[in-house]
Amino acid sequence: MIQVIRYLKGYLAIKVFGFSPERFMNLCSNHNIFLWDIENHGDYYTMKISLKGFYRLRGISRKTGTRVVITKRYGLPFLSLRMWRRRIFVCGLLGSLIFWIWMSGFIWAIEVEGNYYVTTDVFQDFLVSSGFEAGMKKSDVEIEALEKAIRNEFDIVTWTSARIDGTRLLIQVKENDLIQADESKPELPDGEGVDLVAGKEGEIVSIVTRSGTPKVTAGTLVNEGDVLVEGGVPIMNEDGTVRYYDYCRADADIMLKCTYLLKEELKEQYEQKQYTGNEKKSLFIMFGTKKVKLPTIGKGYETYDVIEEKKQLKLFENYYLPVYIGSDLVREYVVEEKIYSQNEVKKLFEEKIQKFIETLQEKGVQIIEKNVTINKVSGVWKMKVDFQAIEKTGTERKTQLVQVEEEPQQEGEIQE
Amino acid sequence: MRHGHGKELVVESLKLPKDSLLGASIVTLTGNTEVFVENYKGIIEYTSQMILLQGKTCKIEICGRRLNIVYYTNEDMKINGCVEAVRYLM
Repeated sequence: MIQVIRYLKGYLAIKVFGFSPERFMNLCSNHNIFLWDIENHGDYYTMKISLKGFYRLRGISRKTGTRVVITKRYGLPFLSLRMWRRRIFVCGLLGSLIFWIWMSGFIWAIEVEGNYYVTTDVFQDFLVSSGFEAGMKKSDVEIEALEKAIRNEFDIVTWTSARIDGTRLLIQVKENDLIQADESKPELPDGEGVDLVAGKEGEIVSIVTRSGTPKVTAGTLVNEGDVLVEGGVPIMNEDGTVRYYDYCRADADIMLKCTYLLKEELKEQYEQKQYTGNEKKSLFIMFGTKKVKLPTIGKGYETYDVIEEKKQLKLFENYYLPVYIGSDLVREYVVEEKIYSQNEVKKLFEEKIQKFIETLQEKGVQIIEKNVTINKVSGVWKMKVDFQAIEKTGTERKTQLVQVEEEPQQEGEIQE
Repeated sequence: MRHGHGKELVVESLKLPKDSLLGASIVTLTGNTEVFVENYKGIIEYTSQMILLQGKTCKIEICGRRLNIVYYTNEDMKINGCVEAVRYLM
């Protein structure tokens, strides 16, 4: 403890020589000047003295006829003196310290965990649009607000937890495993109905109406936009005229037989990349979005593609910096002209048909027939596929039924 | 002498600390390497073989080898080194 205090106050190593060093020491102690580590070296003495005591030595040394020489300085007061000589270095040190502390007040990376249904890209876009992005101040991050915003934005997200981990904003979400279609539809405003209209041209195969007035029957040919079920039930007067329409939301299962057309073209000639096996790796450093490349040896390739690999630098476990290092792998290739054989074309087209069918089936379309024609016209393979399919149809649209003008006064008089 | 004896008697009977009233020096030896001296007036001579201290009633001579003063204040001092003899000179 005493060492620390001595260090903070500063002390000196001095060399005392001359007529009577003993008297010098006695006088020092009489004046309450603390001396320690006194050593005799024959004709001179070395000792330590506090900085404060040293300033009071002048009179004593004159009185005793001794001479005092400083041999070494210790302690904080001299440290600052030494620092002054290395002021540029100290400035740099302090500057970098301030820089680190300042930089650690920002978010440098945002990570999202646990999202499957909502892609990370969508999530990032949402975060940016709601003001959360890399480079923002930590103090501006309102965790509660962010969690709430995520839950409001994505219905599927059932639980969120955001936390700041170093300079990283870590968002953990939990999605609802069972994707529930939103069955509940908003209440209809008064005086409005909703029709079901055909989404495609075709023939009605079957229709089961739950609410509304059906306008078509099985076997009816419809065009796109035709009303299938009206969103209003007419209430008749005794004389057979419509008294008024009871508006509702039309609801029905309507199956429609329709055709899908798929046309594909493929040039007989095609270019294929043939990698020569020549590869070059070049390193780079990225500051934010600015890329600094290190020069590479050798001349470049005529045709090549590049695979970029990069890694964000971090300090310790989670101090992410806006600096990336990475490498570009440059691969040379030669373009080769090739011609598809008939079998290859057939295979390619089949794959395309299969893909098309799959996308249709995902939408709930049932394929019942397909006609494929493939032919070659002046070096281009052409394919045309007709699909006969049955699908559920009926898109909602505001009804165009016009409410019958009521004449309640007259009616009232008759009834009375 | 009689006067001194009387003072001693008073101090003894009142159980007062002897060192401060009689001006007796206290020399504490720890082994032969460390000497702790209280109640003295000053240093008369200091070499690495011998330290001569002026006490209030007598001189104290500490002989030895490689004698160093660890610290030195108005009240007490500490000496390190190999102590061979402590002698009181009247």
